[in-house]
Amino acid sequence: MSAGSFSPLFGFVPNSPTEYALYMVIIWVPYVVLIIYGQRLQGYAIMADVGRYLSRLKVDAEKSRGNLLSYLQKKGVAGDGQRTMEGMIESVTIFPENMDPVGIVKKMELIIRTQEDHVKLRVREIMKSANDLERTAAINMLEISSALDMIYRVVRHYYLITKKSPDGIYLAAQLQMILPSLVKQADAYLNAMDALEKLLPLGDAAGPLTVSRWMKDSQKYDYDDETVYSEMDYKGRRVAVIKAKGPGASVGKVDDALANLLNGPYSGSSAVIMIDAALKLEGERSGDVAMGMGAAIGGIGTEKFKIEDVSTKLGIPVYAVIIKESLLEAISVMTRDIAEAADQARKTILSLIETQVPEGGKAIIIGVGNTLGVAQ
Amino acid sequence: MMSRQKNQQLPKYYSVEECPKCGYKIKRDFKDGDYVLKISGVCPRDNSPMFISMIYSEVEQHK
Repeated sequence: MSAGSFSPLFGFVPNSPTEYALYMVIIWVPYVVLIIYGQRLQGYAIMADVGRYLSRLKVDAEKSRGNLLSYLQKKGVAGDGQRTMEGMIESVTIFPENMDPVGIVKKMELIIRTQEDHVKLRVREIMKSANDLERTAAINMLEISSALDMIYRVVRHYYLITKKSPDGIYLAAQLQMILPSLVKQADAYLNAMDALEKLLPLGDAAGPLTVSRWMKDSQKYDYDDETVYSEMDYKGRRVAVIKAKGPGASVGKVDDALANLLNGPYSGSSAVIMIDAALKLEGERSGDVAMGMGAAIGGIGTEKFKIEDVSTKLGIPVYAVIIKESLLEAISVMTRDIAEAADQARKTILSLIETQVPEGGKAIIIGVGNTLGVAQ
Repeated sequence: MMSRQKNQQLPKYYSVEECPKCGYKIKRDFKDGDYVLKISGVCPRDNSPMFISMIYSEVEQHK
């Protein structure tokens, strides 16, 4: 074969015309098919992958529903009670219009509080013979079931739209990219249901775990039915410690409790110190403790807004101590690295008090997060 | 599939009991009803009531 000449069989020499035709088909037909239908074939492969992930999300949603109903059954709730709870899984929360954002925090807070109060009331009606811990566990299980149901229905929505759309491959590719992490989160939420039933602390309890030790032997005061605070003396400083009331699952109303203390007995405080679990970046070690400035609190933002608002109005600096962990760790049972980080976090907080609060001064520490499995 | 099953990681839950007086700590399997700060057990060194200071999960490699 001379250099530069093109051979349709890439140098292969057939022994007969039939063999020539056969090899032409074997080599060139797939090539032409891939040119014409390649994208569509890739689309089928992606959709099959998305379909598999969707099936897993469906299984997670159904299992969570099953776990909730089985928990209710154990607590003596059957029939209408179970049906009412099932109906609440698909309940929706409509967030306020944000075209004019002035006052939106109060609107959001009202909607969230209304929803929480409504769920608490219904669960109290349904689980008449249960105690507070059992009712809180049921409410949190209901929230997980709702979240998993919503995730499944939203992904199914896009999956079906993708199937109908002529340019569906682009949407399917985006779904395929986010689904692995979404499925991991869904699995973690499902596992958290077991933690709720057994009162096992989640990674998110790093903040309450850190401060609970200081509250153990001191006089505790209820701010409301979900939030508690205590007082301690540290090297001549008067320090209040706030956390959600455990060991049931709750994040409390630490923002309101803080505002109440700062406008009351803790007016003139030199510092507010918040300790919370915070998302680590890939490559960082879980359980590392870092210190910084600003309000360390997650959620939809209403609590953060109120803490920033009150501290700004009163001119009190807010310090953050964070325990690093991944999102999956935050919603899974607490790992050893995170539990052991509480000691380091306590040392960091005490050192902050020594440097930022003068002797005779006042400070407030807030253990932020879901206090499931952590008392005070 | 098989290799995934062989290397399945099963979390196991532990409670750590601590003596508030001498700091003695003991790790044991988590029991239903455990929660952090619950009074649980007696210190073998000074007979003080111990409390649960930590509850955590550890992953065991299941082969």
